[in-house]
Parts: sequence; C-alpha cells; structure tokens
Amino acid sequence: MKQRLQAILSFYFTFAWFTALISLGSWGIMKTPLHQDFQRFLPLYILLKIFTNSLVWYHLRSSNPGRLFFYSNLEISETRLFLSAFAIDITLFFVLIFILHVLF
Amino acid sequence: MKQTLEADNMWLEYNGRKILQSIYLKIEVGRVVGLLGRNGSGKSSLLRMIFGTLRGQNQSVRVNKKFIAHPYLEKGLIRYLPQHKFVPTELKIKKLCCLYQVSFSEMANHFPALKKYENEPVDRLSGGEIRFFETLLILLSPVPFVLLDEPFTHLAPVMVEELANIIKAQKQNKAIVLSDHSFQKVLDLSDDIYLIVPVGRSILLKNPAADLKSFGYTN
Repeated sequence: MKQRLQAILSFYFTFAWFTALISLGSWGIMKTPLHQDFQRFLPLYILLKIFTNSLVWYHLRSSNPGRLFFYSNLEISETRLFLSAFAIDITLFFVLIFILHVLF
Repeated sequence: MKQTLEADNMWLEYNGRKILQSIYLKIEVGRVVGLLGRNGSGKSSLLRMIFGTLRGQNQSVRVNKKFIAHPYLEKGLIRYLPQHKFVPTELKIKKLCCLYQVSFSEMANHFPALKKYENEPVDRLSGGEIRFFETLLILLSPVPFVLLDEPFTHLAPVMVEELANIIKAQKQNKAIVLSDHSFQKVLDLSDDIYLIVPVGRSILLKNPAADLKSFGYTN
C-alpha cells in the first residue's frame, strides 16, 4: 500500500507543474474568486480540469506507453493511476483555496 | 505444492488479423519456460495477456487452477519485464528498489557497478546498465511468477552471463518465462520450450534443437 501510494505520488509529480498551472491560471483569470464567488467558479473549474486532465492522460499514454508497466508491476491499473493522480491534483487545489478562505 | 500458472484459450485479433488463437502454456515454480517464435508471432502480446494488461477476444489465466482475470492486480503474484524501458529514469535507484521491495544490497551483489549510483537517478546509467537494472528489479522481486521479454537485449556479454546465473538461482523459488531472440541462451536456461508458430499456436517442444529446425525457426 505504502509503495503504491509513493508510486502514484511520484507519477503525479511528473506533470504536477502543468496541472497546477492550469488550476492557478484559471483561478487567476477569473479574478481569484473566494467564498460565494468560488462556488460559481467551481463548475467551470471542474469542466476545465476534466478537459485538461484528459489531454494529460492522452499525452502520457501515447508518448511513453511502456512506462505504465512500471505501475502495473506495482498492482496499479492505468485507470486507478490516472484517477488517483487527478484526485491528488484537485485535492491540493481545494486545500489551497480552503487556506485562503480561512485567511481572507 | 508448487505454484503453477496456466494460460489457455488466448485468442487475440487486430482488425480481423489473427495473432494468437490456440495457446496453452504452463509454468511452475522451480522451472524456467522458454518462449520462442519469429518476429511478430505474438510472443510479447502473449506475455502481456498473461500479465493481464492486454485484453484479447478471449483469455484464461489460472493460478493453482483458480481463474484470475487480471493477474497483475493480484498482490505479490506476478511481474513483467517489457521489451522497452519502463522505469521512470528520474527516480533514484535506491527509491526504485524500495518501491519494488528489492534489496539494494542484493542487487549490488549481482551488479557491483551499481553501488556508486545508489542515490543517483537511473538516467545516470548507460542504456545497457539501465536494461540490466530493470531486469534485476523484476527478477529479484518477491513474487512467484516472472515474465521476461527480451532480457538479454542491449546487454554486454559479461552481463548476459551474470543474468543467466541469476536466472538459474532465482528459479529455485520462482517460475520464470523467458522470451528472447538469443535462442541458444534461452535453450540453455529453459526446462521447457514453447514455440509460437503461425498462426498463433503454441507447441511444447520435445526435442528443441531438432524441432526448431523442422518448424523453420533455425536453419
């Protein structure tokens, strides 16, 4: 379990800069909404993440398919790998927003 | 009782082109099974179907007579060395050993040059060294079933000999499937040899040297 979690985290960190940029960029473009405004921003954010994370999945799958065997050998399916990484990505953004929500 | 893995009813087609259709293969802890066949005969596809990441039109993999749909998702059951590089080369060697639950010191005993790279990322190694490291990572894993697809490719002769010795030692507590175009090495190391012949049939060879010639695999 510990090994699998570490493997998923290391996988996420290979593209975290890009997905974090998308999250923070879209939030910035929408004038950094917080509180009530963030709830209005949320559906757009989720749609954007579904679209961009699908692109990430497609790109990584087609550019280096052999690498997925590294995770298969750790009993992690492709679907579980990507969905777990995307869940970490969205959770980290929500944690950041929560902290800002508390501070401001 | 020795653990066994049987694969049969492996049926794979791409766009109506049959790749595999009549396969039976049995591997048992304590034995090395060689898998031979011409280029494009479906050896790698068969290994991936056994591993569980490639789904064909039909497949049956049984471990100790029990059907398993996705062997690779079973805890501590099977590992697979693909033909091409698969480790994230930015990760450190020690970290990779830790993730795969392989002892770094055991690996370094077989691969002394690795000692100085313990805390270095994999991409510090040469292409052949990366291949050897990847093969050891799979071969020394704590699982009973190991599938090796072209483990000797890109290896220097001294590494090939070392790998052959490790395979002989590891088969005491593992079942190993070995597929490689260095067929003489495969013949030397294997207890059983299967040949994949057109169109996608497996044949267990009784007299490998003569049978390989009669099936046109060798001259």
